Amino acid sequence: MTALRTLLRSPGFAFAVIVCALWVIIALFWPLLVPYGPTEQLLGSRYTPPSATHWFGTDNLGRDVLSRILAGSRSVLVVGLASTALAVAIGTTLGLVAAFYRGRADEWLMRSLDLLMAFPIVVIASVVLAMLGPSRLNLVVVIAVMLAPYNARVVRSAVLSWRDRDFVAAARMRGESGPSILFRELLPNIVGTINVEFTMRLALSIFAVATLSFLGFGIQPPTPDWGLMVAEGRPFYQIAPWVVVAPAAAIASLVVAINVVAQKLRSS
Amino acid sequence: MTVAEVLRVDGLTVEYRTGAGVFTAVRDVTFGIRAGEAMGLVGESGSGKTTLGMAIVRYLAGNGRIAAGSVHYEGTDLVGLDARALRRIRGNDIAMVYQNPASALNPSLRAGEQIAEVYREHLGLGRDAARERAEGMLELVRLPDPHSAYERYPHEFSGGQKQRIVIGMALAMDPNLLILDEPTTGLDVTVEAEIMELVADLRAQLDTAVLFISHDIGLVARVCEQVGVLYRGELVELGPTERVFARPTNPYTRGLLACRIPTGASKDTGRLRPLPQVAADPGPDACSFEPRCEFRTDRCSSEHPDLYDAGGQHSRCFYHPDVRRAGAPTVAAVSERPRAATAASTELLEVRELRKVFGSGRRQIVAVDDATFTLAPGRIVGVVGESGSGKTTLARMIAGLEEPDAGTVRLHGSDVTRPAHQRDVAARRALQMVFQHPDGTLNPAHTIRRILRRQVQMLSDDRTGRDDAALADLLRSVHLEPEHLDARPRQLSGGQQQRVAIARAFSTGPALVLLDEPTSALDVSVQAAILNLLIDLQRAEQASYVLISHDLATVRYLADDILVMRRGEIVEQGPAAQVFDSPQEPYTRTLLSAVTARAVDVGPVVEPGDAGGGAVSV
Amino acid sequence: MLGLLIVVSIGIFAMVEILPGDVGNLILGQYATAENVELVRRELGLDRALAVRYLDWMGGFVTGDWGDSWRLGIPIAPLVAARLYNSVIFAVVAFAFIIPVSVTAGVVSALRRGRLPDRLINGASAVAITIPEFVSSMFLILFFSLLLPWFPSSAMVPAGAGPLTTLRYLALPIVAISPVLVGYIARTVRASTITELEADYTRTAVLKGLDWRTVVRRHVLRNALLPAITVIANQIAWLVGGLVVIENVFNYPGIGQLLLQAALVQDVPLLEAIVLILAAVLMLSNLVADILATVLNPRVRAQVAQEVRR
Repeated sequence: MTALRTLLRSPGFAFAVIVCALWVIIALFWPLLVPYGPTEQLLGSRYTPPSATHWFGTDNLGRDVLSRILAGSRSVLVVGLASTALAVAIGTTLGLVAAFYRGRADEWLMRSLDLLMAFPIVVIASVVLAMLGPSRLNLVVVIAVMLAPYNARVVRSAVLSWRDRDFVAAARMRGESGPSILFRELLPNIVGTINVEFTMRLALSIFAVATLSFLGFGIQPPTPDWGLMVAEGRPFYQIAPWVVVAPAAAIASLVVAINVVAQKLRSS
Repeated sequence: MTVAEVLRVDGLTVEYRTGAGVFTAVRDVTFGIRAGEAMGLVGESGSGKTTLGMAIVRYLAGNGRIAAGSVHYEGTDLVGLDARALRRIRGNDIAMVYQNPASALNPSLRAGEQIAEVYREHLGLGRDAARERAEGMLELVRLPDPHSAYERYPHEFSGGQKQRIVIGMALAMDPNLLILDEPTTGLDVTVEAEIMELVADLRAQLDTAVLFISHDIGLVARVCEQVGVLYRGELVELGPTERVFARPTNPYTRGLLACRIPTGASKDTGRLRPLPQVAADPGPDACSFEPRCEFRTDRCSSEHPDLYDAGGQHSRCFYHPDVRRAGAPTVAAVSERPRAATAASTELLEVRELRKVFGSGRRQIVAVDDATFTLAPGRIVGVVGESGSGKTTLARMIAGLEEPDAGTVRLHGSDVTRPAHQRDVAARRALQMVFQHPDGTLNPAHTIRRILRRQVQMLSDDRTGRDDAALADLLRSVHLEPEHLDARPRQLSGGQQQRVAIARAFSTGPALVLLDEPTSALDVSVQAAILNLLIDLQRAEQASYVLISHDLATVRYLADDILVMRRGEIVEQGPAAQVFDSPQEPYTRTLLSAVTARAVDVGPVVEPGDAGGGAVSV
Repeated sequence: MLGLLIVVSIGIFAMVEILPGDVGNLILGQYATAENVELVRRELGLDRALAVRYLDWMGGFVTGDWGDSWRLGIPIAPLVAARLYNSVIFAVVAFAFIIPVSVTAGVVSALRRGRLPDRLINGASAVAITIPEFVSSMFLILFFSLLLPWFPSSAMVPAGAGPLTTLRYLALPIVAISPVLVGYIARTVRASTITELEADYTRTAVLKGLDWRTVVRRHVLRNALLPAITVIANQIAWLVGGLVVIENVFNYPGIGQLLLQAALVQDVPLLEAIVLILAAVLMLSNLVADILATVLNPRVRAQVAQEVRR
């Protein structure tokens, strides 16, 4: 944990951690924080610019933008975290198995993963979600499947770099079985890598969720979602830019913060 | 400073800025090299010898700096010299050759080009003229067919050839000073001998002064007229090579010479004399060697000695006359008579027609071809060979880490030609291995306790571990303290890690231990201690060893029998004395003559009935 | 590669055709009668076996008959071709901007490692690669189209416009799509250059007395930029993904926008055609990058020459 302490000394890292923590708190407790209901339409005050009563103004249906932003944090984080967790679970398993057992299975697996990684996430996800229907579950699964290959590759090369060390040979000589070596000897050494991987995939996952929602394949209205808000606000960008700028800034802040944390973890 | 001096280093001090403060890598070093003279700098890891070499050419890492002193090349101080003048001197007047020729060459440029660009830069020659001279250089370093060699890329050459190209690049402009930093480490013995010969010849031909930096005393003794011994960044002895090595006047030099393999001795006649391993840093106000010195007094822990004139050489010791009087270092004779080998009815290990092929079709490599030999209980067999000889693959097949394509391995008469985890517990208990690199041999994520406990657990019939008391005993048997049980590998030194690996291998009393270059990655002073330990354990357990090594001196000392391997085949085998004294095969003879050609034997002598100095050998 | 393309086409077909929801209802609307829905199905040939449908589709694809769009009712091939052409133009112009900027940034960053230019570039690229394209688009439009009316917010270049006008229309979209690509390429080039700067042979070159510029040019960059080619090829995939968003935001009539529209209305044949063509483009670019990397790598070149000599 001393490593964590040294990291926290860097101002950029500390700030990023605070931002992330803030959004998590907001995602958990937004019902207690919102001044208005996120779907509450105050048709008398449509398109109002930011003011004392509405800190971020209102949109075309008179809904308070701030409340929608606070409420929208939950879906972004839930979907993001769920899909990342699933992606890391799938990817780590595949990577471990491929790296340890090698041979044909490894080759075929890597080829298929390469194939999957060759396609842009947005393209495939859009098509699949268009055909299957944009439910939250579908969203989580599709993003997880598209992200898993990256994770698998990283885990695989980590295991490969440890696999030929002499202590693994010593373990084999005392009769340790394959799975035993994987979990007892190798896994403890790559846990750090997996942690870093998780944060990096999380940033990418939120990127994807926001983009897909913007395009219309993600979270559906009237659930408040940042990407969706940007898309909905676009037609009247000129008259009410705050409707777009607020959620865009929210996305930017979260994504950048997570990425800063991920980068700092990686270089340590 | 005499006019004929090419290089004069005066009071040079080099520091590194690290996270933990300032680290002084080189402290107050002073020496001079005359034109055409060869000087050696000898030291172990951490002595600062590489830093010194880098400082002379002003190529220190970003956090390093020359804190004090001067480096005069033919009168000009290189410290503080402007970039342009420095550039003119580099490659032109001072050239450098260092370890690992493969990475010293740019993989994307043709070999000849890399020599030619030296001529283009310093002489302003055009392409064709530069090429002509480069080809001339390739011929000078004895590369066959210089014209086509020019066109080839570095990866198309062997290790020895690559080093020749590097030497060619260095000597292209006929520099006055050539600095060599471990130029032959990692190369095969025969190749080493060739390179050393080349360096010696070219030096004579071009009358170049040489600064030879190495950990290998024998190599330095072969080439250099003068030698300086570095310890912890300081010069502790300086003088003519023959005198320094024949009658050292500094305790460290003497200790370094004493811990080498004794000349003409074997494990049954002479015992190695390692330097005591101490971690403490005595600080700048004391002699840095004091904790390990057998000549020390109270004065040594409170006063820092200067470099004193010891009559013909210089020594950084208050008691250099005593050291001189102690004479050439000797080692103790072995008092214990070796136990007579029990006439065994069955051989312990029987290897028959073992074969391993890598790859397939046209690109296949026969790593081991039809290897057959036997090993009796309690005997040590040394397997020698150069890179590609197959000795490591052979060991791995015996260990069960590699599956043979043909042949059998029998242990105690029963067939164990299977992967290790498919053998029965008794077989696994009986056959263990110690590996080469101490830093990969222990799992960095585990504590020592866990490592040893797991080993015992897996190999005992009832799957019980051992308690801390038993593990503490195990650590003590390899001369480690029980406190180390809680440590993780990275908190231990290389020598300590290797001891834990040995403890691990011996924890269940194996009958046969495979040793793959067990001391090659360790400093010389540590090697002696580990070798003594291995001998003691072998005697105590009556185990047999298969010792793989490229270092013939070590093998000669330790082994009862020898296997000589070449390109996968066992070309000669027999009792050690016989193979070394009257080799039958031409390859063996080539190998042995290369050993004598590459370096001078400066090992200590066995003193009959001598108890050695005050140092205790562990 | 052909085999791979076939596998991919099967994948695309499966992904799109094995779907819930009734096509007939899609086309005719919710209130269509059962018989009419059945009629539509038969007309479109959807009552045939999957394998037959697949072969029919692929056969048509290869011969140039890509069928008609369900929603638009017009032939797919000319539509996709025209849109692809627009996107390719955009991509080429974008890369013409992105590649020099990112490679230079990466190299400069590595050469001035630890100092201010490096910190700035490194920090900026770390941030740049994380921000979704639509977010950066929105900010760009806000600042450079709404507040400062320098650039149009729609990229529909009027017909017959000269190159300068075209550039003015394309400027914002290109800058919007760049950050991720520039950031990623710059970081990779930086890392690769630093590795080569720390290599032993760089030390050799310096100690030979070579001038620093020569060392960088002849030794360091030669080895450092080789892997950059592969990275740039990989970025083409990312660019395609970004195009979907950017063309949407800026109203650019390219293939990304077409894909989006087709997906939103589940226009199956159009979707299949677009995804297949994109797959082919991606594979082709990877192949070209592989070939380039091989050709430019002297080790491989020498091996090939050896084989040829044999």
